[in-house]
Amino acid sequence: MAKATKVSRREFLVASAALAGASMLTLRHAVPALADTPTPQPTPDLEKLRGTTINYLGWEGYDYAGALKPLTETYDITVNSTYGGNNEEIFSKLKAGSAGQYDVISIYHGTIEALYVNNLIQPIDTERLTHWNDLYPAFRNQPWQVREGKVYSVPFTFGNTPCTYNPEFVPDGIESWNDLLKPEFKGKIVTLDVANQELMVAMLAVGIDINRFVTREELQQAKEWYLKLKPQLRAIVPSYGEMADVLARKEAWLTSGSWTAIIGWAREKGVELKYVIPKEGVAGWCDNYLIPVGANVDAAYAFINQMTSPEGARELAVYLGQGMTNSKVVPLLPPEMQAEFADMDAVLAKTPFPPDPPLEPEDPSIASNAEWLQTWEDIKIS
Amino acid sequence: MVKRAVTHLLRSVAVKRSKDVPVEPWTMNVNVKRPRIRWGAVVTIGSPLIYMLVLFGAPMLVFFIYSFWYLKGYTIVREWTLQNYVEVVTNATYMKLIGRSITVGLITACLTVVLSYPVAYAMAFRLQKERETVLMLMILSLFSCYLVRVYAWKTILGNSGVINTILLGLGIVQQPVEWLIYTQFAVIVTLTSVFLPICILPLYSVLMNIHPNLLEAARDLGANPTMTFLKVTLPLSMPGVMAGFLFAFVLTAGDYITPALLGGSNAQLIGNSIASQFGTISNWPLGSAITFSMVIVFAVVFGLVGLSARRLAVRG
Repeated sequence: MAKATKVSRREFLVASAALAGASMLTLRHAVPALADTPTPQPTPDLEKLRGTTINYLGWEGYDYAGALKPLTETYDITVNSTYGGNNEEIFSKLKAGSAGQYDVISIYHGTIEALYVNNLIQPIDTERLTHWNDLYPAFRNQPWQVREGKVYSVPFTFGNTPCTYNPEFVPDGIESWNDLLKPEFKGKIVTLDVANQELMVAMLAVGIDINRFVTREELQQAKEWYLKLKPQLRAIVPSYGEMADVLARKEAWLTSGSWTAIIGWAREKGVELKYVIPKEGVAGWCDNYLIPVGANVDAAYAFINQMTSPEGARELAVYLGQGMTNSKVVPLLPPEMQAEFADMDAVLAKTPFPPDPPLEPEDPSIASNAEWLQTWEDIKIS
Repeated sequence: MVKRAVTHLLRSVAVKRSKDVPVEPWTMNVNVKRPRIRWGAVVTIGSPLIYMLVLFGAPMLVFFIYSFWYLKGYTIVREWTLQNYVEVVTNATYMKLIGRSITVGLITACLTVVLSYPVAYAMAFRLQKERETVLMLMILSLFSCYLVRVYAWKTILGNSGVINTILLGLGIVQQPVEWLIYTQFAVIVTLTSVFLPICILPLYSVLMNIHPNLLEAARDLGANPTMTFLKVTLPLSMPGVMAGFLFAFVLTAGDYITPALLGGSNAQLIGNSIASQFGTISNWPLGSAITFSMVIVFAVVFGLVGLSARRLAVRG
């Protein structure tokens, strides 16, 4: 008995210090955002990824570390992110030759056709998506998502491009997009340098239906409206992060089209913003995860499954203030968000997903994507 | 003439003539040593040259070829055409942008040179002990990333920035001054401050090389300080002035980050348009055509500045 378990005092101190340290560590990480987040059981797929890196390209915020925690911490995975300020930047980064550089990308529904036509994405095997069948039916068979019977993208969030405003200067927001032209807003509006979002705002203001392809004359009307808006602008910024910065510094009071994520970023800088959907309506968008050609597909599926899981989606929803496509996420949301997304049919009716202009329209009177982009360039330069 | 000068320079550096062998043709010297090649100099000059040729020259050549193709849909058609250059010249918006870029570039370059000359002069002629400290501080300022400095200017020029806070606090204005930021003024001020060190350094080095005997001689001949400066120092420093001016001009006229962040909606420069063509619009041929049109514009400006500088300069 005397020899068997003789522990020196130093060994005992070291062991108890280690135990204390370990328990403190687990205690810190054991308070998850959700009281009963289940730790994912080690699956064969995820074990293969232990200690590796997942390369993400896309919008900032859609790789939110809080939502990825169960993946990154349990399996010691690093997520290496590259951000694009707008969809075209994400597209051109892929097009500039990045086979194998990125494992998963996020992009807006309208740019998926360009990716598909340029052979930059690969079909997704829905069998490997753990939460595919939990997505609302509307997000499993959209025309821009399915090509030749194969699914190319996984919608994970949707939203719209409302007007964000600072209630300190604009107490009630705006009622109509045309309110942006009011003289009291001169030099107080900030917009994003992205063609389709801004031109759709102009079209809504003029009364053009954006849920179908738009003709050249209508594009010209939108341009004329936007040229009236231009003197009202404080700045045209290159990214949503910049937009949040401009609003937080109180250089501008309101935006034209925006993204509700900027409310979270401005809040971090101490300014509370609000958003409003004017009466003419707003363009909806749906962001998807896709797998580019040459990706590490195991990494991609791991990432997508984590982000579309109810727990991961819940983290994203709270961080971004947006709707998620997994139907199981609604009961997990905080009460005020639950009220907003309780009736998903009504919500989806308010956020149509207008098509992006076609690359090469069959009908010659329809404005092509190139014409939209050139119109936007002309507006910026004039 | 340029080619001869470059060849002469390279040969004088690379090939070492033996000192003890006179080169006059009438000497019958049978012990002529073969000129030895200075490998050290060849490698020192050759490596950056090769680096530039391979990593800069070759891609620029590729883009030059691109500028003669055209875009259809999302693919680039590899057929010879001049339509991109025609587009640049006939489209009023590109001409307007090029004009605006040249104007902003010239203003910034003039401002930068005017502001950096006193600093370089003080460093070369007035400061003895503090010279190295000032030099170190300037080089230290170059260590900070360009983007960080642009953001710093946002904090200075903004509505609730340093300048406006001071003006409001002193009661000089009742409302914050709005035109400090998101205007061409902001772009010019920011780029001037960013390029100041780049302008001061060549000026300083040129001024340091002016032999003090020349200045003493001018004084002995009866010139007052102003005359000395105008007739001796300034002409001798023209190469440095030209270098600084052209650096600042080219870097400003081609910049697109500062106009994007601080320029607001009306200070876009040609660089922004080129960036859009290569990025959003994916029209590489047109982007390349605009780029090389700007190269021609820069060459013209170089030529004009060079001519006027030569008239003002004195061969030291």
